[in-house]
Formats: sequence, structure tokens, C-alpha cells
Amino acid sequence: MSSFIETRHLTLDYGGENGERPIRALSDVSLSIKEGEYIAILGHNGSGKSTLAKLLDLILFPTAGEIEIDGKVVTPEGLSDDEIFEIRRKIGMVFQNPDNQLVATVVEEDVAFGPENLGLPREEIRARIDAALDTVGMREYARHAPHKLSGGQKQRVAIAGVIAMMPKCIIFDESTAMLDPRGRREVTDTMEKLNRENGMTILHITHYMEEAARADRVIVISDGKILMDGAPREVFSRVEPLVACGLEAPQGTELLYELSLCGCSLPSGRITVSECADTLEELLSGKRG
Amino acid sequence: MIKLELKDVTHVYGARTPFEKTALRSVNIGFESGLVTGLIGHTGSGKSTLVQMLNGLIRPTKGTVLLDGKDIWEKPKEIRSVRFRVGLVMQYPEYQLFDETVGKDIGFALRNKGCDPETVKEKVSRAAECVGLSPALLSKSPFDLSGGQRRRVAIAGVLVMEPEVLVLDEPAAGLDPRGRAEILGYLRRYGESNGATVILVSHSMEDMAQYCDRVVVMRDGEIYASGTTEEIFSDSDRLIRAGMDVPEVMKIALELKQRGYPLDGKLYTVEGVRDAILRALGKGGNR
Repeated sequence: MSSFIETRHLTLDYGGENGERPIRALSDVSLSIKEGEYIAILGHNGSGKSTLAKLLDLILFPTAGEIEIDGKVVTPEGLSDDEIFEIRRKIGMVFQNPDNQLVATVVEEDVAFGPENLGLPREEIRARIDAALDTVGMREYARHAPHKLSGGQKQRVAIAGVIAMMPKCIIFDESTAMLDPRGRREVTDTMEKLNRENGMTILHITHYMEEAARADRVIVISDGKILMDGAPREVFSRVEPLVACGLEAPQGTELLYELSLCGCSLPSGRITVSECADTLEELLSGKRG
Repeated sequence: MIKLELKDVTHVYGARTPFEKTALRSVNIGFESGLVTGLIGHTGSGKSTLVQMLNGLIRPTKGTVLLDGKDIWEKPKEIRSVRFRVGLVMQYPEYQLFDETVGKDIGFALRNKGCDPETVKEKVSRAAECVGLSPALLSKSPFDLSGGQRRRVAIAGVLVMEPEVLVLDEPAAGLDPRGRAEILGYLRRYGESNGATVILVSHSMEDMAQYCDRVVVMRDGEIYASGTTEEIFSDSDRLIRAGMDVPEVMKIALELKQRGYPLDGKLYTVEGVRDAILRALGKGGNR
């Protein structure tokens, strides 16, 4: 499979007007993302995660380096507004605050907002709304008022609004940060479903390590640079560099790491509850010394 | 000692209208001084209503709120004095910053209270220190700071009043793991060094398990469970029934117990489970 998104030596500076020194938010980021990947992006506050997301969605343009999306090299000079909109339509975004993203007073009208602006025929809009609400499991709330929904439900409506635009990729910028455990589960389950069943490319920016562990690939950004990039197993087995850049490992991985510091010989790279339990069972039953 | 207490508190929004909704139903709960109490419950469980009762932002439809054993609504005109004693930090408080400099923003409440400039200056620097803000930041505009630093400024703006009770709604939401640990650590220390009552609302079971002495679980406008952190987390089924979760590390410990390995101790923190496993291996509890 060829890359869907490719960035080459991407650099972005903020500020720099009036002779002030610019602040480098991203430096020399080269990434290749294939269609259908499920990627988690981790990084401390101010690491440049959100800047990267905004660059990929053409909300910002790089100071240096280039981005190629779906085979097209993106530069602000080289593209007309129509072409920019065309690319943006391929990559949808869901933000953090569930209260800031819904514009209509009825759920289905909110989901209709995007397709209506594309000027699609009425039947097509109807079909897209129904399909999108079905996908996120919110069909029965089609005529409800968004402000009466829970946080997780609101985020699912926001996702439906993005799906109705039929993007190839969705970027979730800390979309679970403000939700309770149930809401978080609803949203991460929806991501997984979109990826597994609809083949959608998912980029999930999060501070929750257990959520990141569900992805196929984890990218760690620190101070504007890519620090690690690999399968969750590889990334989370490196507890020390993670902690050094303000992050942590999932609790199970941390437990095994702590025990190995206490002299137990344990393998690294165990992440899920059952994997960790299996490994610890071997230890407790004396199969490991 | 019970510092703040709700007695038989019921609250109804939009009474006698078609939108009537009972948010709290006969709630009885006490918060002890010197302890950190966690308040959990899923969206709509009544947490926010309860929190707003604690410093008199909402007056209960029925029942009383007692601070040091005195009904805070005895003289409604004096409710302002309660708000000096019970500090409330709302969700995402950094959106409430407004002043020119960090120092002025933190000192706003003190100036309003009529403190002299010397006292204001001294207390502002102490509050800033409490949340790990360097003195150099005090002269900066709050809008030039990072999100995490702005959060600290907002919290310092409440700490500066030296409240006897400090109530915080999701103080660590949206922060990275190190930022979370720092903020929650500072709040715990504030409670310990001032003998203050700290009440934390959070969705993170991991944080609750790590930083709270006691936990109160709310469900459908009622107190579903309350007790020490150990008591609450020892009944994982009950937590799950309330729509909550247990910390990831605890799931591992429960799984091992189910497979027949006897583990005991604080199974809701990483250190607790580590020590329990070491004990089971006969290696002692400590490094």
C-alpha cells in the first residue's frame, strides 16, 4: 500500500513578527502514514502534537518542508482554494470539547451541516445522515437536542458530522480528554469500528496510555520532534524515555517494569490486562525465576 | 473531624415546570478536614450540583449545608463570607483568567477583599509557589503562558484566599501525565500543610486511587457509596455498576486473584500491586 499522508522534513515556527524570535513548534518531522492505519500520537503538553494535526488538515502551512496527501504535494502557493477544500474533505477532525463542535439545535441537522454545504441532493444528504448516525450508534437520537446529550454522545454526533463528509481519515485531537470513563469507551470503540470495518485511517492524539495501546502504531512527539515510532509493544517497553519526556507507560507495563527493578526477570512489551496477567501468572507459579 | 456536611439535601431544577428535574435526592455526606476526598460519578449523576452547593452557589431546595456545624444559609445575606472560606475551582479554570499580569490575576480576590498591597504581594508569591510557578512568571501576561501554566495560575487564584475547604472540578483534565501528577501532588500538599479539606472531582480512577484518602461515588442524584479509597476500590463490581471503572492495574490484580493467586493490600495502585506480588513471592514488600 502506498502512503496516504507523507511529510518530509516538516518544520513550523510560530510568531517571528516584529523582530521577535520565532518559536519552533515542529522541527524536521518526516512521517509516512498508510491508508487504513490506526495511529496514536502521544506527547507532553506543548510537544507539537496539535500543530502536526493542524498541518495535516491544512489549517496551518509549514515554515519549511512539505506534505503530500493522497499523492498531491501541498503548498499554499501551488493550490487554489478549491483544491485546498478538496484535500481538507479527505481528512476530518474531531476536537476536544464536546460543547464547541455542534452547531445545530437538532442532532440530525448538525450532521447535515457538512453535506448541505457541499450542495448535495436532498436524498443523498438524508442517506449520509442516516448512515453516519448508524455508524456511531446515535440513530435513535436523530431528533434530539444536542445539549441534552452526555459528553460521549455529543462527541459521537461530532464524529457522525465528520463521517457524513466521507473522509478517508479522521484526526481526533484529544477528543476523549473531557469525557467520563463510559464516554471515553464509547468514543474509542467508535474509532476502532471506523478503522476495522470501514478501513478509515485514524490518528488519535491522547494523553491516555491505555487508549494509545489500542492503536496499531504509536508515535511519540517531544519538543517538536519524533522521539519514537513503532508498535505499542515496542514503544511502551521503553519506560524510561517515556517518563523522561513527561509521559508514562500503561499501568500494566509499569507494574512489570517496577517488578523487574525489584529483581524479577520479566519480559518487556506486555501491555494489555490479560497479557500482563499471563506473564505475572508465570512468575507467581514459579515458571519464571 | 467533619468540616463540611450536607444533611438530607435535595435539589430540584425547574420545580413546577415541565422541565422539573431532581438532581440530588436526600443526600447525606460529610467531608473531613485534613483529608483529600474524591468525588466520582458519570455524567448526570449530580456531582456538579453537589459541588456548587458546597460554597453556596446553589441553595438546596430542601436540607442544610453545614460548615463547622453551622448552616451556611442561616443568614443568606452573609453567604459571601462562606465563599471566602470554601474555594471552588471550576472545570478548565484557565478560561477565566483576565488580568494584565499573572501576579495581578492571582491577587484579584485578595484586592477585592480589601487586603493591603504588602499582604497581597506576599500571599500571591506564596500561592504561586504552592503550584510550582516560578516568581519570574508573575510579571508576564497570563495569555503568554502554556495551557498547563495557565491552569496553575487559575488554581493559585483560589489558593491565595487560603480556603479552609478547597473544591476542584477536574483540576488535571487535559494535562499530560507529568502535569497531572504535579498538580495533584501540589493540591495534596496544600491540604496537608494547611489542614484543609480538599475535594476533588475527577473521571480518572487512576488519579483517585493515587491521590485520595476517601472516595464518594454518586449515581442518579444519590450517594451510591462512600468510604476510604481502599474500601471503595475493594468492591470493583459496585464501581462498575455505578458506570465507573477500576484502575487498569487493579484489573490485572483481580484477574490474578481469580486465577487463584492470593494477593492482598492496596491493589488499586501500581506500588500496591507490586508489593503484593513481591510478598506472594516471599521477597518482602519493599525494595
